[in-house]
Amino acid sequence: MGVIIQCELMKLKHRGRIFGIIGASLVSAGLMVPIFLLLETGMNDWNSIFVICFIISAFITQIFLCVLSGEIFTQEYEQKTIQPMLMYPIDRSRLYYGKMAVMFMYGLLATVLSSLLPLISISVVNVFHVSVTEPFTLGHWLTFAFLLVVFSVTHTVGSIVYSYFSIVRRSTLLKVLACILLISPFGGGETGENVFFRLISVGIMTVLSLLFLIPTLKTFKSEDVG
Amino acid sequence: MTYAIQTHGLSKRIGGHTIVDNLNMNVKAGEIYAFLGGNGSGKTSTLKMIANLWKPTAGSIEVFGKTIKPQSYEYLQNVGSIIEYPRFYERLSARKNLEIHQKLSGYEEKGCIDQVLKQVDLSLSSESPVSTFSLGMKQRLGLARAILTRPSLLLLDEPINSLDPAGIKEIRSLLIDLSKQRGLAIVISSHILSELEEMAATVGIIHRGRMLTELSYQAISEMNRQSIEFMVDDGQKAAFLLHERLGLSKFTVVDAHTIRLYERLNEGGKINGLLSSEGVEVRSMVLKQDTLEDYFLSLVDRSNNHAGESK
Repeated sequence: MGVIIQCELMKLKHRGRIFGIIGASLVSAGLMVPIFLLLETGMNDWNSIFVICFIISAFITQIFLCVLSGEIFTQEYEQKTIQPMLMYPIDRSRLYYGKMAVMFMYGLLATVLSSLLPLISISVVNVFHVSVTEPFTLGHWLTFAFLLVVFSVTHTVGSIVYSYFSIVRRSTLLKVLACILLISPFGGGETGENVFFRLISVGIMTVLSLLFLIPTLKTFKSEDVG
Repeated sequence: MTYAIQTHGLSKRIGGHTIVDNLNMNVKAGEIYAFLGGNGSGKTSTLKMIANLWKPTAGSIEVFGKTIKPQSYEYLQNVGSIIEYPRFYERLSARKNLEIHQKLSGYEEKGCIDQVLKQVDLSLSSESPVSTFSLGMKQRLGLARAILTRPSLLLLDEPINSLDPAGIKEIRSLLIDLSKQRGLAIVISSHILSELEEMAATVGIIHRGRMLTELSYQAISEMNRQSIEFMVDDGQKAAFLLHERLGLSKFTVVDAHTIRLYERLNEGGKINGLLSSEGVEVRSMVLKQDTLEDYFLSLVDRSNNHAGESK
């Protein structure tokens, strides 16, 4: 598995510029939007701030994973490099999991960065323009850490859906629609709503995403290629 | 006898259309096997099934005596290939592409990349992105990738397409060397029949998904006798005269104006005289040696006629 991950990273290394541009624009948006919201809506508790952070995180991570799935799966089919790939003495399911491991790694990194950066930017702005008056306690840290773990898992599991639309139903349009649907459970409603309520829809989304794994793996393993 | 590949009743159907039909193929270990067939005859489909890219609809494949199942992957360690067209990660250099191949193949010998790049004359372009390569260079890089991990079997689908004459000569001698020195079995498909003629030990001819024949090149050479080719104004009348007046039977009517005679070759002048005296105008008379191409075409022709008759 390590070798597959290493090779996938080698391939992605040469797409650094694209990732840089996407990453920079999304992170800038992630830094600017919470500041705007803090100044405009006058949010005054950390739970509301967390909701904003994870909405932004979902937006950034899902778009990033959608683009990444194109690089990791769709490009292989479009450029037909999947053909030599499937001729290695490696079980096809291991190849799939190796590619997914890279998606998971990037998904995890994107979730952590995209949720922490808005929180940091809000905290900094809050020093100069006090809006949130309640102190940031250990309980808040624990809540944030818990949510970070939950959303990291959720986002990365969501990448299975993108792999489905790259392998089984190869369609960029459907992938974009999936991306919108995967972002939606995180957003919507009042920003002041308790973040834990959102976990229900996020949980449903995670289970649904896992259901995509079976047909994806089946197709990847048994499909005639070339 | 050890076989590198044996297929038994191999078939592939896609959407009700039979692409490969009950194909039996026998490639001996260490030999160069020429897999001949026209476009759409089923060569690439067969190679894809051997490489486990396609699953057969019926029949079985054995590679070095082991039956290939849909979940068989280990045997691919001993197989190098170029199927259809050599595909690479275009943004990566030739060397990086080979490094990825080496890692995923689980082959750890150091220095082998430099060695194969040198063998295919790509040492100077090793750090260039593959996107800058010409088609011929990609073919050579494809061959380098195929032989990098020292496989025992090479599946090469039209590997000398788009190579210049010098490149063809180099690759041909490289393949012959590999077969002789490493005992590599090479299945090589191509429609440039004359190129295979100088390499192959066994020839398999496939047409419309069916194996028409499979025999040693030596046997084909023995069959491919010399002939006299007559170009006449009336082929039918000439054939009648050859058969009725001279009692000849070993001739073929190639087309309305061409007859190829395989016997009494030293009596060409006499036969010419007879035909002329009977009012058949002989435009030319040439002594010919049948090639593998002639044999291939005659087999395909026979198969087409047979198919026509059975309809």
